[in-house]
Amino acid sequence: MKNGEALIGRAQFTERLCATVVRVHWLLAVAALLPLVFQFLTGIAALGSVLYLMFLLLFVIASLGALLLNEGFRALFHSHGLDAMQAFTDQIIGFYKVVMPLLFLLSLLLFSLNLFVSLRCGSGSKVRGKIVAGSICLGLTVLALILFYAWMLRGSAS
Amino acid sequence: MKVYLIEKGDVQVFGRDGAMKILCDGSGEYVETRGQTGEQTKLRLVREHELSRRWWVWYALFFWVIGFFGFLTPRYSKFTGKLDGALRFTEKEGGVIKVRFAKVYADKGGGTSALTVFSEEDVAVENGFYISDKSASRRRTLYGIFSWLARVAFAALLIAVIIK
Repeated sequence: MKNGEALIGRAQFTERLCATVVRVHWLLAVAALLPLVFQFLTGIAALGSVLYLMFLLLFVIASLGALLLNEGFRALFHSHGLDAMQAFTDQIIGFYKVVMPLLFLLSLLLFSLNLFVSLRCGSGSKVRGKIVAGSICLGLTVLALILFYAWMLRGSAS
Repeated sequence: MKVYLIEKGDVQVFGRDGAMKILCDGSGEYVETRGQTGEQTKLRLVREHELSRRWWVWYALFFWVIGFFGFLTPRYSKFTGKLDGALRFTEKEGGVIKVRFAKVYADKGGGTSALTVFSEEDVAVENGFYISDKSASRRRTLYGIFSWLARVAFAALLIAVIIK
């Protein structure tokens, strides 16, 4: 029975280890996608800002320019929100320039650990699921890495 | 012979040569016994809760740390049943046995079997009962309490450091 207990303990340990590693891996993949999400949000905010200005212009045209005499209305044209968001995004990108390679290395390490433990100690239907989940996480991290650096190169070229 | 294990959870199966590899096909998880036709085979089915063991504190602490304050590690099962049963049957070429596991504790009279066998062959079930492990249940509750206390303490510490 002692040997059996040790085997059960090992099986439960490896199963929990793999499950934890996969969850941490998902967190890393989401973290790697963050700068792209911020850039996307900045784009959306820019689009929103254009729509906002168009809306104001519609009011000006509808009032035949009379609304421009009002100082409060004119102040509505000055928006600093977009600049603040861009500055925040730039800060995040600066941070990710350092962190992105580390995220990739960590992701690769977790994938290898998951693969090794699953193939060596795992059995049953859960093994395949864990390997697939680990591969998706690694794929997302690689995609985020490529997009991030491609976008940086494009930014520096322009 | 194929022995399908329906909803086996974390039950381990032991054959003549030790732990058996769990295989998987379209019908579910199974183990393959490779005995000669007419040979008697015994499969041991063993299950124990993760927190039943002696080093449970270190085990829980390790996963609490690597799972970011326990948030990223799976929750410990509420079911603390302990199983140490066996199946005995005679090998038959191409024979199939299906065993369904139910997470029910044995009642005081020793009734309520956790294993239901579906088979055309004669299969004897020995000791197919889950015995409730009270200490694992208590440890699970303790883990929950201390885990949340530690999270709150860390959050308070972090806030204090930021404010300073």
